[in-house]
Amino acid sequence: MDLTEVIDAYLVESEEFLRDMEAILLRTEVSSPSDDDLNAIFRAVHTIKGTAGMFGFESTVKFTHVVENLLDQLRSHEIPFQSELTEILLNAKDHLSYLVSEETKGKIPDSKIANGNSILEMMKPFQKGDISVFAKKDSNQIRNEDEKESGMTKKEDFSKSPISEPNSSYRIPGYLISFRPNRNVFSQGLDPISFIGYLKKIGSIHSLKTISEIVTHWEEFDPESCYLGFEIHLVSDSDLETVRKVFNFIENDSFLHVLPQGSTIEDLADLSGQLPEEEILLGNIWKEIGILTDISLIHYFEELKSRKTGFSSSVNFGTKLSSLEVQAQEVAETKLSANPIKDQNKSATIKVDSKRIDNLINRVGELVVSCANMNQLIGFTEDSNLQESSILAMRLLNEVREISLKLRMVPIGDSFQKYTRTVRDLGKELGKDIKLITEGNETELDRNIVEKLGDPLTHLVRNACDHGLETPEEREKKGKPKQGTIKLNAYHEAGSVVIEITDDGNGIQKEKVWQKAIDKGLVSGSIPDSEEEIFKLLFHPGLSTASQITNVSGRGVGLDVVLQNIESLRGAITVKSTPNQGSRFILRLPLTLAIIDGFLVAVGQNQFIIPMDMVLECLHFTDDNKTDSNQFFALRGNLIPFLRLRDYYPTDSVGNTLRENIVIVRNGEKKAGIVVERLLGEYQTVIKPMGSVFRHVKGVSGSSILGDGNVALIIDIPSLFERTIAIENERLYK
Amino acid sequence: MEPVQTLRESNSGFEIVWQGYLTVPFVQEWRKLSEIWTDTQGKIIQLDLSAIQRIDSAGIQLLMYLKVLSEKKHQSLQLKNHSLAVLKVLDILGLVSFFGDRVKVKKEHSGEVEFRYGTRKVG
Repeated sequence: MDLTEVIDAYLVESEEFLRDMEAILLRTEVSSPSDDDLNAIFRAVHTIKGTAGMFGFESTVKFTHVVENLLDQLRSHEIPFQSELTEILLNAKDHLSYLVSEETKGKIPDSKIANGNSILEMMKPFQKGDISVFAKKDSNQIRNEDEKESGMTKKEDFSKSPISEPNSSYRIPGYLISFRPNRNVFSQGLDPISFIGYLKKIGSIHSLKTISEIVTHWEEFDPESCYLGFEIHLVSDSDLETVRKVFNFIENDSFLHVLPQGSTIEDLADLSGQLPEEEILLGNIWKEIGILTDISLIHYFEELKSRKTGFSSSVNFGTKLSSLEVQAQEVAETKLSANPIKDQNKSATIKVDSKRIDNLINRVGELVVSCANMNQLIGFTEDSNLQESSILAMRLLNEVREISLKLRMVPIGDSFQKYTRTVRDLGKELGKDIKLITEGNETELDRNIVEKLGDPLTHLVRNACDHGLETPEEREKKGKPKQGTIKLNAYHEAGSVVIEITDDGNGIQKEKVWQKAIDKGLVSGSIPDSEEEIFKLLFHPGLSTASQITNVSGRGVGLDVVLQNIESLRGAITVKSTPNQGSRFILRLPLTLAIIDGFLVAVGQNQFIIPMDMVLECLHFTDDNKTDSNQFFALRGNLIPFLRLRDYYPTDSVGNTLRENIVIVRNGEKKAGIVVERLLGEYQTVIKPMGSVFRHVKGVSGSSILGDGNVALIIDIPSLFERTIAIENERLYK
Repeated sequence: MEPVQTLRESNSGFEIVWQGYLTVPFVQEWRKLSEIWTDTQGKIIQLDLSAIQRIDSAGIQLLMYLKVLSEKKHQSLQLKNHSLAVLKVLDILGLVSFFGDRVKVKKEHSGEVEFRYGTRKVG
């Protein structure tokens, strides 16, 4: 088994659990947590503890055990939820995040352990009984206690690390009776309850779970047929034969299996194969009735996994284990949990290495390109059947492409969620009252982009908290509500995703920015009218308008880094701001990095691709449309600036200059024209990143290999616009 | 003992009292009697079980079925005033959390039911 992979899965999963936990805790600041909320937090900590225990991560197990106890008391309403607990549990969550990520790398330093203990100390006054005593015990002891809690007798010793312990060393603590009476049992005058009641004469029923098929068979329910089943944990000194004898009369046609005390995980796995219920559900039921413990349940899953060959060649072990456990718990949590029929229709989620998906998308991309080429060639033939087939193939391929691209799409909401905490903490640190509103959480974006967006978004949110919003006193003076608002909004627009970070604070003072830029020697002259031109300066390295450096921002990492990050994602940023009303940073990003719908054009012998979502229309470019200054193109009464691609990408060959075409493109809210010589039509293409030598070439975002083997450059419209403006400015100011 | 159903309709739904043996020989009849209120949608049904003197597996199974059905029909079925016979079966089969109703045990019956398991939802 590759342990690295397993640990990676543990890290990813724990991170997800902790993120959810944080989101729930932040909600508790506004309203009291529901039972579901408390259960979810408990489950998060409980699952992390289980998996950490499996790897022998002592510090994590010790810490989670105490937190779990508190949460257990909360969810069973033994103690009430008090608002002070939010802060403490958030701290516990942070510490747990640290433990999870650091303990996989090595031992946790004592100072951090002490930090954890002080958090546990803070929990003490809220708990019933002194459960913090667990913090001083080692995790082996905790495990032993877990076993005891679940009905283990003292004889069993689980002092070894579970990871080194073979599954077979676990012994079940009592009789496990799996009993499924025959459907006709009632008509034979037999009552299963009386047999179960009789069990009390030979021992004590530790726990029993009634399973019912009614849940799935309710439509055909016949009250005289028996749909019940029972999993019984019996503690008894009687021998196996005596226990079996209890069911003598009813055994005919019924399913009865009795596992004696001391049976192993393997025996349970054998049994689960004979019962009609899902193995996972059974594992959970057995845990519920005290036959399995948290850790042995994991061993049981492990055993099931090893029995199923090819069970998870693409799904790694750690992921499967904990998700199996959670899945099982979720199934059991529904009120009618005891559903013995295997639910075939339930959709399952699998985790796949993102590299595999990237690979698939790449291959699909290649296929799209070669199919497009084939399509083009078939277009020249007269064979209508061939043309029809090719169109059909192309359509199917497009569907495949859509589906494969969607595999990598994730809603941005998860990523937005973490800023609730950022804003909350920053507000406290800066003495400001800030509310974060998120919108468009369901907007989907390529996972790779979402991951890379983390830093820039954090920076912009921190900026909004620090520079953007005023203190409550200042706001009050201005007649604004004391509480400042930051809004994160995401939406789709013309094949792109737009993310806006808006605050209702100070707004950016244009004069201050301009002055700062003059001081830095970046610009000269009087302040221009164009707001955009001024705000662009904000993204210049070293230009900070912060009047003071705080812990939060103004530490030298400026908006220039944000811009670089966004540009590396083929995105763009624009800024809008109104004094005293606030600022808005608008990020425009492509939906995906892998494939684009392009519009193929040519200048001389060279071919270029313009991203399709930016193309508005194509027109003949005639002299009649040109203005005198030869810089604008008249389109239905509007003047649109244009540029000749030939001027920017000179080509040796003489083009067909007699009949030029203009492609009207848009970038955000602006329109412009690009004059080209030939229009070759729509073209789906896989983006190949530029080699490192050409990475900083402006105006080109990537390249693509065309079906005929030629290379086409993909035009980066925003940077081409920018470059044109820069050249124009230079010309004007000279 | 033959099933007797007393039914009172209120604004929110029905209040029903069941009297008799909730056992195999009578389950078909109970099922038929219940049709009158299981066919309604979105109502609150309060089923008083104080007069159930006997109940067996078939009886408890019928109650489980009615619970499932009420959820399918967006009703809310609440069992109340459980008789000792009903409580004993709920106790031994660990079905308290399945029904999710408040269970009251009279002082004189306190030694007869333990509710050691099946009272908490799994989480």
